[in-house]
Amino acid sequence: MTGRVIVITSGKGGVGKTTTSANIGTALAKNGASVALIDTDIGLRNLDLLLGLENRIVYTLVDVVEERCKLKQALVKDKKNPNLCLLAAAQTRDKSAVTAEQLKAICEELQEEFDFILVDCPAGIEQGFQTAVAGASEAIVVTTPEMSAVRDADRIIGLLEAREEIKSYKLLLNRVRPNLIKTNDMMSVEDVVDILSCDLIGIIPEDTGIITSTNKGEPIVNDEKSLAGKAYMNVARRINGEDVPFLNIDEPKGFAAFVAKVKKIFGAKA
Amino acid sequence: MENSTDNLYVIDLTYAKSPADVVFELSSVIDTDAAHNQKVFLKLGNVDLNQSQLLSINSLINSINSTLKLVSSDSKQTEAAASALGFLIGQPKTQDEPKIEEKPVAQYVPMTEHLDSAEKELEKAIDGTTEEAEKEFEVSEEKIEEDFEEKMMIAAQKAKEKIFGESVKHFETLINQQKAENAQKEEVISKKEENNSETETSQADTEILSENTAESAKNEDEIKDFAPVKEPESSDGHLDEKSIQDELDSIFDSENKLENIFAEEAKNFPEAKTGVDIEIPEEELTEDDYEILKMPTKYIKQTVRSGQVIKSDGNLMIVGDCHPGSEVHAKGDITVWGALGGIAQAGSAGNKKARIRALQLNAIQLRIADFYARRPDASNIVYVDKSNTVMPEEARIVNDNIVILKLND
Repeated sequence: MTGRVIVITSGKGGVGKTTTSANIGTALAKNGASVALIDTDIGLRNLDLLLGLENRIVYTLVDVVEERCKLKQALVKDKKNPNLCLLAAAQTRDKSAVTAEQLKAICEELQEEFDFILVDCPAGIEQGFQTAVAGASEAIVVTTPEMSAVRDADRIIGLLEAREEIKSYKLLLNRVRPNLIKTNDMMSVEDVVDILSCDLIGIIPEDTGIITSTNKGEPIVNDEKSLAGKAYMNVARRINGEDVPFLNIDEPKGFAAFVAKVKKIFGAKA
Repeated sequence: MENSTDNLYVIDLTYAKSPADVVFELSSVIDTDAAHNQKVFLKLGNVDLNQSQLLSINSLINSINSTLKLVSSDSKQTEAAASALGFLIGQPKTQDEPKIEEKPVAQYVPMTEHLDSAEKELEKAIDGTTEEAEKEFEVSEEKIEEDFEEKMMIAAQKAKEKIFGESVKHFETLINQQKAENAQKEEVISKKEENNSETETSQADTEILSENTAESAKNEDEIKDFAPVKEPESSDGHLDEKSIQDELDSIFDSENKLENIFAEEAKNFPEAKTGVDIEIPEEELTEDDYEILKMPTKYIKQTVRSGQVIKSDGNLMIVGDCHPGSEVHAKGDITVWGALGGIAQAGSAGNKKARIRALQLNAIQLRIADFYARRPDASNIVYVDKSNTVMPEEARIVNDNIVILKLND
């Protein structure tokens, strides 16, 4: 078995790389694939927190690299999903603790046992990024519809294109707010895709549930009612090769939908 | 293997070549009912044992209500150690051999098979019991303390020198201790009813954070790893020197001793429980306690933030909070005048009497010596609880569990 190694990167910090990694990983595992998540953000690890596995971590990526333990010992199994494993980053070290070659070797070892290896990349384009990208053959570039994030994503795509081993890269647009797009306060999905000229793999709406799910240590895909959870679930299906239409994220729901209907009936501007 | 005579129960271990062999054979002997309630004559071959090893052998024999009366050995060091501990020295076997019935009572059990069955028994026993009987070990120590308190201090000192001086000896001692502990556990569990009547305990509302399953499983694992080293002809003896060295290294590295727990991931990871009533045995001071008292103390006055590691060769006193993501390690006690939210390891050199105390004990993981406990998944604690109402708590090992006790109790 040869698993697919996918790096999740963005350039800019705070756009949701780690949230995306946790949710896509969980979604893929829910669909039956075996998934290994690698946190390469050494010194600023957060992926364990999002998965609620913080209290289980004893060995980290750095311990594996420095041969204080075997790779299998460092893999922490998810609480709910036995298909999902986490290889956490060390909190007490920095990015120089792991080299690109070492991470590549780890990815190759994991490829034999897992269907998917998702590498959560640190922000920036320095050593940490170079290390995280080393073992991957595919990439997901996370960005938000803001000029700064889009510009950084553009830079990252350039760096990815320069790497031969990256066979394909896809764009994931995070924290989209349909209301702001309507009032022209936010770049639309089409604008971003036009600027970056890159295939979309998913559109994730802004969701306050993300904040509570992060605090609880439970990925939002486990909440089937949440719109963001559904969107991440669709991303996972698209990674699996399914053709899934994009969610209509600006469809008003509940009371808002009712109000919109009433307005329509009376001919008012929606 | 063992022969019953009129007054003394002879355990013949003259062929045992290493301390590990001795303890291993002993643990299989004490499985037989015939060995219970006897006065034991221990015959040893040319094997060097120090005082602490003899002490653990003695406690092993005590655990089946037998008493060690006589020791004979071809090794001068062993005899010296035995006489220092007050055991009678027997005549060498050629001079004064009691009438020995030639048929052995028990069959020689290959090391690996024995371990397999022991592991199963142990698992069964642990599954079946929720309450732990007081360790026989303490009974034996009580006895020794009456007469040989001074001698024991010297013995402990010597043992310490040995451990730090001769690494190979350390390795052997370690295996001995682990095997002795395992054997004790089995015995203790099977005889818990007897003990309960004589055990003086106090009830307290406490939180158990760990179970000894992981620890005992780990012990078994480690011994298994060593089986080929000790007895290459009995199993696939193709281990080269390098892998033996690796095994040794992994034992010496206190961090790596833990690895077997996590090899099985969550399976062996101690599951947290709260509000469980357990019996707290009355405390007895051992040499471990004195060791902690003599240690130097590192004094830190700062907030220990995520990613920071503080290590101490002795005790550790922190005035300030330890945030999640931080690690504090000490060979002795850890005291935090503030909220402890990260990982705390006390007794990192293996001292089981080390304790962790904090004004607010919210640690993600607690580690004392070889024992582990993790915070319950369900607990919903804010990043660092900085509230004014604090609940000082102390974590320590009780009956091979990490237990957190409220100060009010």
